[in-house]
Amino acid sequence: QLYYQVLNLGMIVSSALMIWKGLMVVTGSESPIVVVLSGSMEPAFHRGDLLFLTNRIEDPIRVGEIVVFRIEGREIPIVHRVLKIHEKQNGDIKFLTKGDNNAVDDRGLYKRGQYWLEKKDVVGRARGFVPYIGIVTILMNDYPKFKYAVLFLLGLFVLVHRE
Amino acid sequence: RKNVEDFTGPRERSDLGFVTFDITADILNGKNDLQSIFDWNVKQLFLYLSAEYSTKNNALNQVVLWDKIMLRGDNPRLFLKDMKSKYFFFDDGNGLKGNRNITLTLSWNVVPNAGILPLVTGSGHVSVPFPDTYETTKSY
Repeated sequence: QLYYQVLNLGMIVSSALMIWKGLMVVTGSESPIVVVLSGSMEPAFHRGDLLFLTNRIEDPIRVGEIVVFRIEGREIPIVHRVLKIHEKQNGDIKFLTKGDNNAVDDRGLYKRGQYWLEKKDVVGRARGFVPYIGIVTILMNDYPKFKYAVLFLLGLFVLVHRE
Repeated sequence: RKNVEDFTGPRERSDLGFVTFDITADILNGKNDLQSIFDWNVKQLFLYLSAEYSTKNNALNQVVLWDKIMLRGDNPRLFLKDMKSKYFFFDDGNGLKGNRNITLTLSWNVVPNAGILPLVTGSGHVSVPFPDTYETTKSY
């Protein structure tokens, strides 16, 4: 019986992993779903909102789009809007971003000496969103005990659940 | 239009453009012309006026000159006159001088309560030509 429960758990975990990896391929983004961490895009997005991204190379970066990007050397992705683009004939593009709720553009956030973002900095473009749901991830990050409790309960649920 | 140092950017001189504009717009739902854009699932609109042009340096340039957040409940009609651009219209280089083909378009990002985030471009646009010379003095 235990053998069966463990297999069951394994199936669920690997299915979830497959779906996640599948999403990564379909959207072209390494992180197809992100949680909004700051209030810099209010009133459109608030902390805890979930964003769905695509990162298809064929989609050109244009002003007005909401991009999720990483600054070189920093882990935390930022969700802001494209304010300016300059694109060369060969497709090389450099662009500037700004949070809707910020008074100034993001130059102050970029690395020292960095004035523009490039395609390589982009994690994805926000195509859709769902409010509030991501709060759980934020809670789990800020309160590790909560994370363990959630994982423990999930594990318990799977083991105890009878088909 | 002047050629000045962009203090926020790389330390080279770039063209800085000054544009004043009027905006008259009626934002409607694309599907049914008589219906307002603010249906049950629209939380807000992020409107922006962008200038698009080509230069020797760059095949495509887009600069947002002005933006506005329009919340559900606001009047989806715009009647603005003599607006100055909210953001500095710096070119990446000196491509504004003598540029006859700068197109201004009004677009908006529809932010739903939940769901897809489309970008819509308004019909109608304006072409702005820049003069061949720089202005030496102008208060802005």
